[in-house]
Amino acid sequence: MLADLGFYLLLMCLISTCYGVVSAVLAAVWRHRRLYRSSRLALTASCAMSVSAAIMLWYMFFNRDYSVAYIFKTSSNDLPQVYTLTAFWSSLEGSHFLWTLLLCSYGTIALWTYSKDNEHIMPYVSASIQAVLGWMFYLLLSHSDPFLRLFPARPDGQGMNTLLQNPYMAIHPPTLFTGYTALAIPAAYSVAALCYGDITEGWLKTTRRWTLYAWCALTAGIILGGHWAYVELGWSGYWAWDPVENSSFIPWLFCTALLHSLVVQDKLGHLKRLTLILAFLAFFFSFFGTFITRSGVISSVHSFAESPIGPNYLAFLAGMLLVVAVIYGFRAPSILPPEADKAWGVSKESALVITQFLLLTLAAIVCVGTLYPIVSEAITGERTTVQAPYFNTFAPWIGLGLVVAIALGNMMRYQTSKMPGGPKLMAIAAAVAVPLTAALVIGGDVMSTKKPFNLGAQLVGLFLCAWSTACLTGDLWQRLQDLRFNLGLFFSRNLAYFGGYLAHIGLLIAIAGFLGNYRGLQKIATLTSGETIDFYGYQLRFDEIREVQKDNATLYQGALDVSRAGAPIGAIKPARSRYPTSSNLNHEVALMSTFWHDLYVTLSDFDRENGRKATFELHINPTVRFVWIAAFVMVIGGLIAMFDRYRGNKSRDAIRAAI
Amino acid sequence: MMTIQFSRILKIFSLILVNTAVATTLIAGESGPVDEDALKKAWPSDGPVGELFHEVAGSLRCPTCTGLSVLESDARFSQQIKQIVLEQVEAGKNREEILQHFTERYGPWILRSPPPRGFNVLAWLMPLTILLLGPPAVWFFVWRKRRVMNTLGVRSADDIIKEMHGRLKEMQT
Amino acid sequence: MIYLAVFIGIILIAVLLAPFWFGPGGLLQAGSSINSATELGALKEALLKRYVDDEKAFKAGHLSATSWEQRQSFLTNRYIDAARRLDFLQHTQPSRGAE
Repeated sequence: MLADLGFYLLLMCLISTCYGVVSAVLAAVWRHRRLYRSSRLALTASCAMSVSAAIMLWYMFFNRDYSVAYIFKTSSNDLPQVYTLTAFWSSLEGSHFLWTLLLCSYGTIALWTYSKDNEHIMPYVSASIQAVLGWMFYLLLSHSDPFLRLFPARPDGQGMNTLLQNPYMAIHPPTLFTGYTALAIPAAYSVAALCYGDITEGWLKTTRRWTLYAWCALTAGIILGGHWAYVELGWSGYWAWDPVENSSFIPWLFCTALLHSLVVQDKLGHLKRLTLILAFLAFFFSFFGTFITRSGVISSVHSFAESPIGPNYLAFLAGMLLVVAVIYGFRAPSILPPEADKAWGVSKESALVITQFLLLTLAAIVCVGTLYPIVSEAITGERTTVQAPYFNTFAPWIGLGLVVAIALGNMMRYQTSKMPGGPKLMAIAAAVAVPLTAALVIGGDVMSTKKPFNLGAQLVGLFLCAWSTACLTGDLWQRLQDLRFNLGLFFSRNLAYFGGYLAHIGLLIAIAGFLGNYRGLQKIATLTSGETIDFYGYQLRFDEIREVQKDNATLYQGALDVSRAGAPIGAIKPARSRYPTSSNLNHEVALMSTFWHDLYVTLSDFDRENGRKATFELHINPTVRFVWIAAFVMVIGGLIAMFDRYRGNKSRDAIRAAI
Repeated sequence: MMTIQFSRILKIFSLILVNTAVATTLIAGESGPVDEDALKKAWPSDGPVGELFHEVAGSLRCPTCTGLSVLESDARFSQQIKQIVLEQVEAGKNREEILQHFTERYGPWILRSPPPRGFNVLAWLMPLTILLLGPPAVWFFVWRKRRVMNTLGVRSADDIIKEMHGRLKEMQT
Repeated sequence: MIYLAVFIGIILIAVLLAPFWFGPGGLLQAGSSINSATELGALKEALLKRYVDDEKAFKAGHLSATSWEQRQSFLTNRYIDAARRLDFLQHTQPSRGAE
């Protein structure tokens, strides 16, 4: 009953968005305000209806209504309340629904919070968003219906995937999807600017803000996903370059490149067409990533045809690309060129272009690596694998290039090859970087790296990161000096700069963290009750395996008393867990973190008879915490930059100065 | 004994292939089912044997996981591969020989990065091409062109604001 | 059930059609896509005139400082858009621009 109503609401959403597209296009042609307002209401109504449908689905989840196939598939009677909430997006249909829901919501917000400067392009924005949404609703109704009924209703469900029963899975998918769907707004604005034939003054402000929002959400989402992998999968890493991760990383790279292109456009009016292309591609690749991971094409070309969702996605992606390419082909010449004829030379804008080049190259490499197995299988028929070693051949070099580009680019100024106080700053930074690097090397225990090449790479990389950080800070200091340390003025006028400063520092911390992770120590040890093992300065004493019930899971905990240099510092309980709906034993990782490294212990096996004997896998993971801190700093930086009121308002500044 | 083990592996392997195709709708790297009876072995990590073992096991993929090497995985299948790797390392084979051994049996699929031979060369050349040809392309399309391109008579926003205020002053007087 | 569905459908149609009876109508704000030099020139003049009017209104106290600020930037932006477009047209089609 409720399920039928939910399905009906989604159907109404489809009809409403289709009407929205048609009315928006006509409104754009006739410049008819009432028609446009009607189209905006169509999206608003879709938003309201899909939110209602989502609430119904949640309601049925909490009522354990197994007459709905999706609920039967992803939940069970023993599921705790919080995971009943998140079971919503634990499988294909629901995550698809979440995607659509978020796109609907952000689209509605974008249409209602438009700037008056953009009124003339809003019909195109509305049409673009609803065209994508219309297709999403169609897919939701035809191929991944979350409200599909199951007859007869079963007494208990199959249960949620046990790996997803983790707090990080509660926030990771919505955050990441927020990033994906928020990218639709800059893309819609780009298509609108193209249709309209010109980028007008108000366009940049809105696009920049949405891009930053998407960037923050993507950054947070990707790192949360990494954190989930780290604490749940038990292989002591957080990034494996697997296709799912790559497909979230590619839009991030495009989004970052877009931000840098927007900066150049804001300051100089250059790179307008590149901005439009990047904004579209960022969104396109977020869709593309969903396609390659959802359609099964990634495991084999042959599984692609098994589900109708794959060919559907492909048709839509190709159609979207074609339509935008045609619009671009016809309308791009009408996008006005920059204001004045300026040579690029050695300048900040050149550095920004180089940064974009590096980001896009990395995106291309990740894309090639992700798609290569499919291409190879399709062309030569031979199955191949592209995993971490391939990506690790290229990514570190680009990362180091970015570190240098960040330092130089931030010290440079627009339209001049002069670097105010540059050489002096670089020299001071190099001097400051030496003790900083030494601290990192000692704290992270870098010197115990075995291979000379890895050691050298780490030392050089850490030094460059420290140097770059010092350069950025020096540049910040210089700017403050220019304002005579008037912090009020600085924070009212330079939030974008300050946010950018934090985001860059965050990235440098992250890269330092990645470099530290190069060297991990591991040991596999089988201990009997009462036995103690020495591991990298820690002494771990095994007590026994205890069986503990926690929510719906049965945990087999191997309690370890940890002491360091003889002094006890606590107990950790790595465990295996068994859920009633699955026969597998999951890892429950035990972590003991310090600033410099994590002691990461998993229980790999234990004596099931009397629990007196167990095998542990012990890891020391250096500088993992750097990566989490870095993500936090980057997101804060992005959010601060979002609230800059002056960016993109050059004329407003000018008018104030003139009056 | 060896051959018995291999036929068993191949049987599991074909089963797994079918399964992964079905199970990829899952969100992230799922580690394969753990055999409850498999006794975890303390793999060597030091000395020449340990180093070679790490290197070889790190460049073979775990057949049942997404994105992991057999070294990082404790799925049953990975354990068996690691066992074979260790045996061959101890038998004095070098890296290439062991990898060759696995490639012959499972195809290049088992290697974590495609061997740069035949069509695979393309996968390795593409990034290098982008890195090498990119900067000249940027120079050609962005920098060089700007110098000759006409600005089509469009003034800067500052100039237009100046004009606007000039006009406003005229109108007010 | 069926009544509820019909009810939702009717509400939806009512919402979609509401703008045709309520709220502001007319044409959407024109940007710079006018491709006629005369129209653009007229637009520039109209913007200047509105600017002067609004300024008067602000000085007479009919307009709050914030809304005057918003109008100011809005009118300036529109003016820049129109002027840039006009520049472009005059450059590409000198004969038409001279009309």
